[in-house]
Amino acid sequence: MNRNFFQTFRKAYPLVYKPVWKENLLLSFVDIFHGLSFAAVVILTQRFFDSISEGIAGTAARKEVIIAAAALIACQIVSQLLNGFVNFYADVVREKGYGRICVLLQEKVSRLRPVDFEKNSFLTNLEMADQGAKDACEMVDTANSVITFYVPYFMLMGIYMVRLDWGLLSALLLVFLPVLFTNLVKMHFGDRIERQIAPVRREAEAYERPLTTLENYRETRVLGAAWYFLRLYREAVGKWNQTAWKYRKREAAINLGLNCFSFLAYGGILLLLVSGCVRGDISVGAFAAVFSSIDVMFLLMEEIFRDSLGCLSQNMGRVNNFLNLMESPESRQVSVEMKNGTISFDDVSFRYPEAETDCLKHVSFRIADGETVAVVGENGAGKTTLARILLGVYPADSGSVTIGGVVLDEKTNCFHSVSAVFQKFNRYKLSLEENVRISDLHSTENWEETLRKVDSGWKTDFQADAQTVLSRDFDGVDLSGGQWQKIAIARGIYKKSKILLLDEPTSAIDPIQESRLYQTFLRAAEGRTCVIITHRLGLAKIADRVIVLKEGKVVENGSHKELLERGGEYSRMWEAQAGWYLS
Amino acid sequence: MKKVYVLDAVKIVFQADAAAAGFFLLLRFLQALVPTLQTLSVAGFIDQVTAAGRSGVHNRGLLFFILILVALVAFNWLSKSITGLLEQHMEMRLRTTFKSQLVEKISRLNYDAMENGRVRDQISRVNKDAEKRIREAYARLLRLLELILKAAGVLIILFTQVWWLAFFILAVSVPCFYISMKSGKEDYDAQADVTKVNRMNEYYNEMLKGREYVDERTVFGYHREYRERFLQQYEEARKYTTGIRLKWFIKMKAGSMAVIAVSAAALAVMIPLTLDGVLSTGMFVALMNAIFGIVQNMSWDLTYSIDRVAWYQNYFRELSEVLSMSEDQTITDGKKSAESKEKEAAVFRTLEFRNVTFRYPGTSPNILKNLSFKIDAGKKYAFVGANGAGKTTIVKLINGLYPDYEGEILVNGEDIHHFERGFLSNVFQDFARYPVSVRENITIGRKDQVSEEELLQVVREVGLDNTVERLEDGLDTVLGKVKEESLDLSGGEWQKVALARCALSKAPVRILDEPTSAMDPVYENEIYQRFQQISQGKTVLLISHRLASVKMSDFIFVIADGAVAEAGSHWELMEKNGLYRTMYEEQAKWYEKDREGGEDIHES
Repeated sequence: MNRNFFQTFRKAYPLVYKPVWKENLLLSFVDIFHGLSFAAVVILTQRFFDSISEGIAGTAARKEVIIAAAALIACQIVSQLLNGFVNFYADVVREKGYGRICVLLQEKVSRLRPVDFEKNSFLTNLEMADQGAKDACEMVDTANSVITFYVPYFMLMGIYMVRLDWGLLSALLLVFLPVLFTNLVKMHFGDRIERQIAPVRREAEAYERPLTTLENYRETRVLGAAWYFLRLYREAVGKWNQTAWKYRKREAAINLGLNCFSFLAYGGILLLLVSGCVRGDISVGAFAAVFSSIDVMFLLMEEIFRDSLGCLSQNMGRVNNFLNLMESPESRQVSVEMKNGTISFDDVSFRYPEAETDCLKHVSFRIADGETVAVVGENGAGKTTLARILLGVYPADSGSVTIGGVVLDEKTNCFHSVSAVFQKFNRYKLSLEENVRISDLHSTENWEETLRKVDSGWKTDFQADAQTVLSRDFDGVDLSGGQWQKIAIARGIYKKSKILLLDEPTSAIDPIQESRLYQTFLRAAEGRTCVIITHRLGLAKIADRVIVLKEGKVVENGSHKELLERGGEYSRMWEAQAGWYLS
Repeated sequence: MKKVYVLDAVKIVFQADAAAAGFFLLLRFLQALVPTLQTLSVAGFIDQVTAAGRSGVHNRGLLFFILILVALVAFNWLSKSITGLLEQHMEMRLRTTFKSQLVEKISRLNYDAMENGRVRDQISRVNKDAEKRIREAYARLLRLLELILKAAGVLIILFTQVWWLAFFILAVSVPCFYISMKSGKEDYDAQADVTKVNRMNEYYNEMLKGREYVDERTVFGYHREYRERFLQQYEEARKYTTGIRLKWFIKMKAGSMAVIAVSAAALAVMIPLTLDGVLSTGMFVALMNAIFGIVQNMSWDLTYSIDRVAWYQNYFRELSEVLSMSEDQTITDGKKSAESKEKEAAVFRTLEFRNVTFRYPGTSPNILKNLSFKIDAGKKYAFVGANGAGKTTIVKLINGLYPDYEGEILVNGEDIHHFERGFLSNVFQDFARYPVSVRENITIGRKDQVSEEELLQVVREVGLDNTVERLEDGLDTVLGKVKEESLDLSGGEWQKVALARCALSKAPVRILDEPTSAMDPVYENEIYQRFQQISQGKTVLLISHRLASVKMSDFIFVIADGAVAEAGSHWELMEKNGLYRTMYEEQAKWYEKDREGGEDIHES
């Protein structure tokens, strides 16, 4: 969904403002005085200069001059203190707010539909949401400070200058117009110029990557291909420079024109002041005070437009991504406790978003409570998708899924009663204990006992204790793929559940340990329904029953022995794999 | 390589682009003089106006000062666009010289630098936008100089008027300046403490939002607990950085308070002098404006500039560390290695490990322990063993990625260090996907030395011909997502590209590293078969833990705990009744037809 600026602003503003409204109010309150103090300094400077002129002329007493000087110094001090406070506190408010927004976003993400994570448009929103949230905070910040700082400052300056001389009102206009114009032009051309340069820059960066990042470093090294990519890189840099120079020159010419315009405006103000001063319309003090503040006026005006136009042009898109995510539909939120571990699929079909064909086609089967069932099939047969639907992570597009007697609909989920070892299990950069217990944080079960079931010698094996973080990033240790897989298995078993799903649980484990683990699976399966997804048919053999998937359909369903005798898909796969071990 | 400091930015920039850097310096210098000249002309102008006010006559002097003021404003605005362009020019030149050299340096580093996460991060920090960093450091140094010149200008004017006041101000400001300079560095050091917490929090955020965590996050439902932990840590880190920033602000504002105090003192001295007519009104007004202008500069620019310079100081420290990392001495440029490849191909006879002991740099356990084996030309070898037994490490050593080990690795009886790597060709499990055309991906810079027939032959052999036909530009289709017109292949197709790359190689020794574990075993077996086909007549090394894939090899090395536990052909090893047989039977047992169910698994 694309919103225009005002819609985005109206949506984002309260979202960001609310969690830290007290802090925001305080900030705004102080900021008003901050803005006013900037203008007051100018006014008091004039007073002071006037009084000293009068002092010289003999029309004012020394004491009056001193008082004017003291007032100016006091105002400078107050102004600087306010400036310090506002700048400091604005960061505090923004960061505090950002933390709250992050949590809000995390909470929202936890309720989103997992299937949406397969959608490209959703992923763009997700990727940009963090930055978008940050941008939203900045947007609110900018809007607030325009109202509470810049507006009071320019209003007071305006009133002051008008009271000095009506003609000076045009000076304000002379600040406003060139800055607005400059920023609009820059926004227009800046974007275009960056877009022209971006492709050549990306090309050079792509050639740089095989040379400087781990990804392809090893192969580049052993191929001796570094010289080749260096050549490509140098050529691309040449092209990049050529393009960049062409556009940078143009950019500089535009800038020169714009600066000429600003100079004319600045010169105009100067002449206004000079002529007023020479004619005696404004005092020498007023001339000096206003003249010294022209720079500040330009600077502040520049800030207004740069920040707010920045919000308008680049950041708006990302704020929009953030809002889109905050408004994305949510998934099953009602957790239902299952009575037992029966599973029933009735005519279930499923298609990934943005896919052209169904991944699962009219899948029906039944699994009794306490049964151990293997699901086999080649890559791309739909095994992992079946697992996700069975666990209730994805909803079926059509047909119905019944777990433990409860039909899963749009509202209910069965997450309390299921556990799993995923094929792409996560390697949490947390402590070893957390890595196991994360599946059930409220359980008081002894997690070390669970880990021992998977690997009796884990303490020496992992060279880690309970609190060792399993990542070098956080001063911990790195584990091998096989060791990680054991942790993932322990994690899946640790959670008390009616149903346990194992998706390729031994892919990273070497054959000797694999056999031992099968025993662990059998023990873990005691008292629960166990579904094992695998393309190692040896593992399928330990199951009570085998379901064979092919191209999203259930093609066979029966015990290992039955299926071998049938001579269908399963026996074909079996022959292929067993053939390797025949003499 | 000698150490580089932030001041070296000046040298580097001048080496890259002396003209632009010099011109930039000149403009910056002139810009720094503007406020001083402006102060003088405002003083002159006001004095003229006051004088005219008294006498009622305007003279030429007034016009002169107005013209100077206008000229200064014009210079200020117009020079801005020129300095901007100069900055771009310097950056471009730095990109072709400095940055390219840096990239080359990084591409030649010892391999272990890349495998060490900490060093890798440092390299990427230094390398990212390096040309911009150097240019910015230069500009930042000049900015600091400009601020000092500005203040000096005002002081000099003051000196001509009330000399002792200038000395007084100088005496007060220099210590202030020194203190803020010093604490800038302390801030940087303090900042480092909080980065770990921040990284941790970034990670929590990733856990709670990332795509790869969605399955476990949903099923295990740990998000509430970790969200709370995130917020708690976030607040902790925030309060910490807020504390640091508070110090920063206090320091900054203390600076401007000091300047205000000095200005107040100056006022107290100058007011009587002005009233007594020692100081002209114009000079007084202009000086006051200049001094209050410095209050503004002091509060933001100076503190910020000093902080940035301190930051760049750290950047340059890391940069000099990267520049001083040792390079892999065996790397040669393309031409030479292409020539000698033929020679190598002709002479390869044996590859031998003699009592090799190896541990990864910076770690304690030995991965290889007194490992010895010998490979003869023309035969097929396999390395099998459990995870972590050291199989992949052997491949890394053969490829010379880690040149430091105990014992000897010999090629044709000579130290492997004397040889170029041209005699080896690898297919890694994490094969490279280069952002160039299919043709370039296969030939890797040897496009001109490979005939079209040869290439097409290889493409057919690995079964990539169908894919190539499907592609619009055939072999010249650019892969990856770099250019607009490029497209990406599937994982399997990429795997075939990697095989083709290897097949085209004339290297006499070929290595296939264990394919990824998540691969379908049927497909994995196919890759082993295909690899064997394209490697007819070559010396072949297969790495695997799936024994069935390698049993056709002439010779099998069973690697256990960093050493060769057993060696021989499949049949020899089966007869030996050792580790290999145990492993093989363990795997084969699952496919025996006569046994049923899971009950008897544990008997063997």
